[in-house]
Amino acid sequence: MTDKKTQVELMREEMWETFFQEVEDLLEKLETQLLDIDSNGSSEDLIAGLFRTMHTFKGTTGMMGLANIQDLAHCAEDAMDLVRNNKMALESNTIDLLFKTLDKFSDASKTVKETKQDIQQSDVADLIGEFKEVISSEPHNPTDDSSDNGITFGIIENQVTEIDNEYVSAFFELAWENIKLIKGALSEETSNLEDIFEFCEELLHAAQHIGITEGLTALQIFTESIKNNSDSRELIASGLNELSHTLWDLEDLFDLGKLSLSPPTDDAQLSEGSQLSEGSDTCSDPNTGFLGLSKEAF
Amino acid sequence: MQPKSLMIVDDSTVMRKLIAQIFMDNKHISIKAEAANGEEALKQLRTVNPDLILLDIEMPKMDGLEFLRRAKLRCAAKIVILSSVAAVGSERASKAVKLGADAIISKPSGTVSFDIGPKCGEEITNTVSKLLGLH
Repeated sequence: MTDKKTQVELMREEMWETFFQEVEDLLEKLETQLLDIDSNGSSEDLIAGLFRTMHTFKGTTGMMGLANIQDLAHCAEDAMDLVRNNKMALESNTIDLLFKTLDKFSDASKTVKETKQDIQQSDVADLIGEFKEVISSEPHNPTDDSSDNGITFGIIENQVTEIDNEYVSAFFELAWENIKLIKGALSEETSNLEDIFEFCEELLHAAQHIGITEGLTALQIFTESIKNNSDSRELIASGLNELSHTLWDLEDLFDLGKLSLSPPTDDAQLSEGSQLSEGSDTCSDPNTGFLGLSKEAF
Repeated sequence: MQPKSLMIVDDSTVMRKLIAQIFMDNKHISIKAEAANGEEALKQLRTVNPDLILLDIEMPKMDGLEFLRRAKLRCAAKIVILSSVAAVGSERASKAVKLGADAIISKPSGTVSFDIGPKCGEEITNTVSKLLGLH
C-alpha cells in the first residue's frame, strides 16, 4: 500500500513538472504570437496560431484541475475563435485585454508552482467580465466546438460517410508519393520487392477506403504479382508508367469536378463500377484495369 | 500475445504524459510512438504501423481532421479522437465522425492533480480496449 502511494505521488510530481515546463513554453509562445499580431497585424495564420496555443493552454490547465485559470483561458479562446471566424475584428482593446490576460497567467503560474493549487475565482473575475463584454457586444457568439452538453459520441459503429475534396486530394498526394517510391525502388537493382509490395498494398487500401472501385481487381492482381514475384521488373515498370498516366487523367477529372466518389460499403469493396460522372468515359472501359491501366500490362 | 501498439498525437506534453501513465501497467497495450502534431505523426506512421491512434483535433501544422483523412488512407489503425470538442453538437466532432473516426471521447479534465492512478482515464482505457478486441 505504501509502495502504491509512493508510486502515485511520484507520478503526480512528474505530471506537475511536465505541466510547469509546458506552461512556461506556452506562455512564451503566446507572448511571441501576440507581440507578432500587435506589430505586424492580424493575418489568418497568426490568429489561428494564437487560438490554438490558447486552446492548448486551456486544456492543459483544465487537466490539472486549475478551473479558474482554465475559465479565463476559455474566455480568451472564445474571443479568438470569433476573430478567426471573422465574426469579430481584433481591436486594440482586445489586444490589450489579451496582454493583461497573459500577465495574469504568468502571475498565476508562479502561485501554482508554490501551492500546487488553483488561484481564486476573484483573481480572474474582472478579466472574465471584460471578455464577456467584448464577446457579447458582437452579433454572434461562439458556436462551433464550444458546445458542452456532456454527451459524447463514444464508439462509432458506422464507417466513413463523407469523401470530401480534401480526402480525394490526400488520396492523390499519397498515390503520387507511392508511385514515386515504387519507381525509386524499382530503379535500384538491390531493392526489395517486399517494400514495393507494401507501397502497392497501401495504395490499394487507400483506393478502397475512398470508394474507388474502377479496376480495383486489376490493382489487386498487380499487388499480388509483386507479392509473388511473378512478373519481371521491366513489366512492373511498364505497368507503373501506364498507371502514372491514367492517375494523371483521373486527377484532371477530379479537378474538373467530373469525378464523384462515395464511401465504400462492405459489399461494394470488391465490385467494379464506374465513379465517373456523365460525359467522362476515360476510365470506364471494362477492358481497362485500375485507373484505366491495361490488365495486359501485368 | 504481442501487445497492441498505440500512437499518441497531441500537442500537449501533459496530455501525452497522462496517457502514457494510464497505460503504463497495461501488459496488453504498448505505446509505440508520440507526436505533437499531425505532420510529425504522419512521418512516423509507416514505420510504427500502430493498431490504434489516440488523436487530438486542435493542433498546429496539421490538425487532427487532416491527419485523420491521411491516416485512414494509409493504414487500418483504429482512430480515437480524444478532444475537448468531443461533445455531440460540436461541428468538428461531427466532421470527424463522417471522416471515419472509430470513437470520439472527452479528454480527462480536472483529474490529473487529484485522481491520478488506475481510475484516471477509465473511459480512455475502456474505449481503447474495446476497439482492440481486448474486452
